[in-house]
Amino acid sequence: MSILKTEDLKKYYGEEPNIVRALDGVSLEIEEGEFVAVVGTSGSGKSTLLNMMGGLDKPTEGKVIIGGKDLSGMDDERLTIFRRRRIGFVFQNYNLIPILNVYENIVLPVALDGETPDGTYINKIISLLGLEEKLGEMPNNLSGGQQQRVAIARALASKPAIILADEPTGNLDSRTSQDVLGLIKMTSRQFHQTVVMITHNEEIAQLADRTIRIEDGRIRESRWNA
Amino acid sequence: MSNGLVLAIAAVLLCAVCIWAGVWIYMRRKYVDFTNAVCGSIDQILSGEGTGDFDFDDESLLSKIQMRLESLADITEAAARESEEQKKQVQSIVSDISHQLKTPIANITMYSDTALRPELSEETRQQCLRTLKNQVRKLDSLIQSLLQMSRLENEIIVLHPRENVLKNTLFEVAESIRLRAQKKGTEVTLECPENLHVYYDEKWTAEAIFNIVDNSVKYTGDCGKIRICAEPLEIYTKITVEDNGTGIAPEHINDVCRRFFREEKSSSIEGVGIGLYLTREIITKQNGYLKIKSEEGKGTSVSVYLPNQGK
Repeated sequence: MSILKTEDLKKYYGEEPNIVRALDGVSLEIEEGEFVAVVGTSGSGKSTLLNMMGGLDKPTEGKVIIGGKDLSGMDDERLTIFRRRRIGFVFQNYNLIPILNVYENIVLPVALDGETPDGTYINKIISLLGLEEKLGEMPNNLSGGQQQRVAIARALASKPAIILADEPTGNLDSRTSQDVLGLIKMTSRQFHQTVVMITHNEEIAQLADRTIRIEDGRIRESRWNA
Repeated sequence: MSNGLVLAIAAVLLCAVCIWAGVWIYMRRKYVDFTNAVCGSIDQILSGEGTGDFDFDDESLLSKIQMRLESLADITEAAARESEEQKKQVQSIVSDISHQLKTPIANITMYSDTALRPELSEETRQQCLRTLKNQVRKLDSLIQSLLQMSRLENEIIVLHPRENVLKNTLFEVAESIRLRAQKKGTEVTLECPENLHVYYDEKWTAEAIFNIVDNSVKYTGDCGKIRICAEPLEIYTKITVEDNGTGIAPEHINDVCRRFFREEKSSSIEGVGIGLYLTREIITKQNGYLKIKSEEGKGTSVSVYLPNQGK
C-alpha cells in the first residue's frame, strides 16, 4: 500500500481571468521507505505541493491520503494531532526552538504527545547524526549544518509515516550540504523511513531513489535514479 | 450513646459503602470495556481485517494502543514482504546470469565447431583457436564477476568496517592500476591528506574504488588524465575519481550502476557491466553513498562518500 497518495490535486488562487493555478491536477503515489525528490524551478508548485501533503494547507480540489487516511475529511484539531504523530518536517531554515536545548528539541513532538521518548531509538538517531556531544547545547551555538541535523533528528523521533523536507540544504554551503544529504539518505534507508524532499537542484535530486519533476503545477516526469 | 447517633453513623457508613461499591462497579465496567476494546482491536488484526477503522487521531488511551498495534502489524507484514522480495531477487539474479552466459558459450561452440572443420587452412584454424581462447578468458572473467556479485548479494561476504588510513588504501588502488594506465600513457595522480582516518572495510572498499578507477582507464583515450582525491567533510569523507574520458550520456547517468548495464557506445570495450553495481553495493552497505557527474566528450567524475566514524 502506498504511504502517500494524491488524487488530482488542484490549488487555485484568485479568479478568472487572473486565476493562478499553483497546482493543476497532481496525482502521485509514494511507497513506504522511498526517498523521493520533487524537483522544479521556483514557481513550479513544489512548495504548494509540500504544504498540501503536510496538511498545512487545504487544496481547492483533490485529495491527499496518508497511510490510508484522507486529510480532507479532518478538522483542524484532528489535522494537528495527525501531523504531530504521522508527519515529520525539515525546513530550509531549521526552525528549532531557541529556548530549548538540542535534546529537548529532538524529543519535542514526542513529548507533546504525552509520551516518554523511546530511549533506544532516540539514542540511535542521535548517534547516527553525530549529535552525542551536542545534546546540552542551545541551537544558536550550533552551525547551520548541525542545526539541520538536529531538525532531522526531531523529524525522525516520532517515527512518522513520512518526512517532508523543504529545500533542506538551501541555507547550507556545498560541503555541509553533502553531509546533510548523505545523512537524510542513510537514515531513510536505515529506518525504512519515507522521505519526500523538495528541491530546485538537479544534482541534489539525483541522490534520491526517485525524482518527480513538476512544472507549472503539473507533474512532467517521474523517474527512478541509480 | 443515643440510638439516634448510632443510626446516623450506620446510615453514613451504609451510604459510604454503597457509594464505594457503586464507584467500584463503575470503574470495573470501564476497565472491562477498555480491555474488550483492546482485545477487539487485536482480534481484528489477527483475523486479517487490518487496521483500517482504527481511530488514530483521537487523544484517547485506546488510540495510543491502536497506534502501536498498527506498528506491530506493519512490521510483521514488512517481514513477510521482504522475504518475498528476497526470493524474487535470487530468481532475477539466476535469470540474469544464465542470460549473460549464453553469448560467450554460443561463441565458444561456434568457434570450436569451425576450428574442427578439416578443410580449414592452418592459418584460419589458428585464428579460430585464438578467438576461442579469448572467449574462454571472457567467460572466466564473467564467472568471477558473477560469483562476487552473488556472494555480496547473498551476504555470504560480510563487510567489517574499521578505522583505516585512507591514503594507504587509495595508494594501493593507484598502484594496482598503474601498469595498465602506463600502457595507455594515462596519468594517474593521487591527492589525499596524510593522516585521514575513515571508517570502512579495507579490502572491499579498495575493490569498490578500484572498479571506478578501472572504468576511468577503460573509457579514457590514450594520454588521458585520471585524478583521485580525498576531501574530509564533517560527517563523511568524499573520495573523487575524475577522468577526461568519453563521459556518460545524460540519459544514462542513472543507469550505469544497474546490473549488467553498458552503454551502446562501449560495446567494443571489454567489460561485463557490474563494476559500478558492485561498487554501489559495497559503499551502500557501509552507510556511504555515490554521486556521479559526467559530460559526454569531456569526462566523468565519480564521488564516493564514506562515514568518518563507525556507529
